[in-house]
Amino acid sequence: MDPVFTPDVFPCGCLVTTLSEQVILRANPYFYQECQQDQIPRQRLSDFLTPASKIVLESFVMPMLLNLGHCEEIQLTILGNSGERLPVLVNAQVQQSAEPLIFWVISSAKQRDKLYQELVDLRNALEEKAERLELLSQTDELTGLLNRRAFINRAQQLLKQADRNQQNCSFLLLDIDYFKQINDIHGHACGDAVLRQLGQLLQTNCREHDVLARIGGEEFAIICMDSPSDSAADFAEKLLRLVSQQPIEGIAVTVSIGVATAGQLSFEQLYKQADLLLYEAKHAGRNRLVAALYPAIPITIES
Amino acid sequence: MPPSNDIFTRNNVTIAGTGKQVLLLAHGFGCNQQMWRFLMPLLSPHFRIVLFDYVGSGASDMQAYNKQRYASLDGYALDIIEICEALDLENVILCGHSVSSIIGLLAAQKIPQRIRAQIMICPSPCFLNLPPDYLGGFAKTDLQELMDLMDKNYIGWAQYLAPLVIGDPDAGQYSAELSDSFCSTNPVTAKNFAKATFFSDYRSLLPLNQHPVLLLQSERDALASLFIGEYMQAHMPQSELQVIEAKGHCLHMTHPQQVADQIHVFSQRLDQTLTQTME
Repeated sequence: MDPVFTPDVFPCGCLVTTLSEQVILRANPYFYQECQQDQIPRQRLSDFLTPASKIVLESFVMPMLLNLGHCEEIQLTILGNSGERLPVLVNAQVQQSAEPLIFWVISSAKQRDKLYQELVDLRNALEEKAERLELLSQTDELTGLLNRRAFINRAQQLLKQADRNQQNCSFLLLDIDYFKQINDIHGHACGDAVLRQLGQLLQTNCREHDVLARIGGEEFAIICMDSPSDSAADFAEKLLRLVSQQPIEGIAVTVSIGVATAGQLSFEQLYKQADLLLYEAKHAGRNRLVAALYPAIPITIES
Repeated sequence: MPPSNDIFTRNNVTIAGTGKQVLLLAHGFGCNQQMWRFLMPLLSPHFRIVLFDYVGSGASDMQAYNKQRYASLDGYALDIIEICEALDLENVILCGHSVSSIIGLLAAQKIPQRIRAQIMICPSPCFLNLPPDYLGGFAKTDLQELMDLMDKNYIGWAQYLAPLVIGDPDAGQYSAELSDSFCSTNPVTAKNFAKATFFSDYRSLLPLNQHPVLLLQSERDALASLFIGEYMQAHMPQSELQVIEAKGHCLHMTHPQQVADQIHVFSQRLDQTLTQTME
């Protein structure tokens, strides 16, 4: 061979190993120099790697080499003599013969690793920020409940699910009675406190799969899948009672509720029906609920 | 449970081979069902073989991926259970590589009536060193470094930033992924699988085993040392350990003949035991 053109002169690690255990048969001086290790006979490639890199070698690199015969641009970490970690980039190819061999090219990836680390950190930071923003965009600031947009989203998912399971869904639209007066008489800070506490009261009493939100000024909504044991009207009645039982912020607060139950209606239709029923409840004197099963006749329950 | 057809597509289930005995082959972390291809010609004349990819691996349906479900090995075990139920499999020999041995054990405890026996290739119930009694081979910092290393490899592999751009890491935006890529190129699913695999400790499951188990170890394995094989045999009733004269963690790929021979001997012995009991 041309003495100038030998593996010894190239500025990258060149190795030949066995296939099954990656015992190093030949390696150029650059490889040992790069690893800052001395040459010992019958060493295995994994002897030069960090434990994490051994897992990558066994779980990705070897299966790829055994199945495809080659792998490219795998980043591993070499453990130097005095414990320092050297990021390297590995390309390898299998040569099939009586005793199959692997030819490896291992080059330093120090700079590239720095860039990648920056990218990983940046990605993690962005991911965290995105999650936080996602949460913010779904939350009603005052009550901490879901906001209108998130509610519509979840409600639509629940409706689809109910449709698949051929179940009824109920939409409870709940509005505080004479809320404007509370604000006018006791001030907006007190009004806000009422909203917050009512939100909490509702949340504590909602069942696991109910979706609760504040969807407007003094308007709350709950969408739930109907269960035979606990009907939406019973649930609404319980809420009505709970709210009227004890004063909030020293004020006697009552609510009116429209409860629309249906299997086939779209979200918009269901919302509209609940809104009409709520209007009926208000019209009939407030502090009550009006429930209707579509298509059927509404019933009124007074608190 | 989703309908049977959905499970077949979801887990890319393939059925091959002739024979009465059903053998369900479960791939390990990092790969997919293609890792069984060297064993297939040796096993398919004798067994009815069911192959699949876990959701999140190989050519499975990425739309069905749920980060929470697949954050622990129980989610993967549920894949096996649902496949067994969808195919209404009985008397199954579950054969798993590496972490799939433990996934198989989890599944076998949930549906013991469908399982006949288990074959575990290079298994480990826990990869962590928990001195003084147990040396899984790795320190917690090593495994954290693994996550970091996987991240860095995924930058070069595929779709590293995609989940970020799209916003929802669970959404089914990965369906366009190359299905012929051998190793998992999906950073979200692979890192989740890695965490479920390498940070878990399922040693407490071993004494609860109810089926005959064949443990196949190699003489030297960077991920599952002989100590682990001996530990498993000592703690798992009805288990036997066979050490194959070979090195490395992918015995079924590097030494398919030896592995197939062991599977045959084990399966024949199960039949003999059955005949004896019936006599």
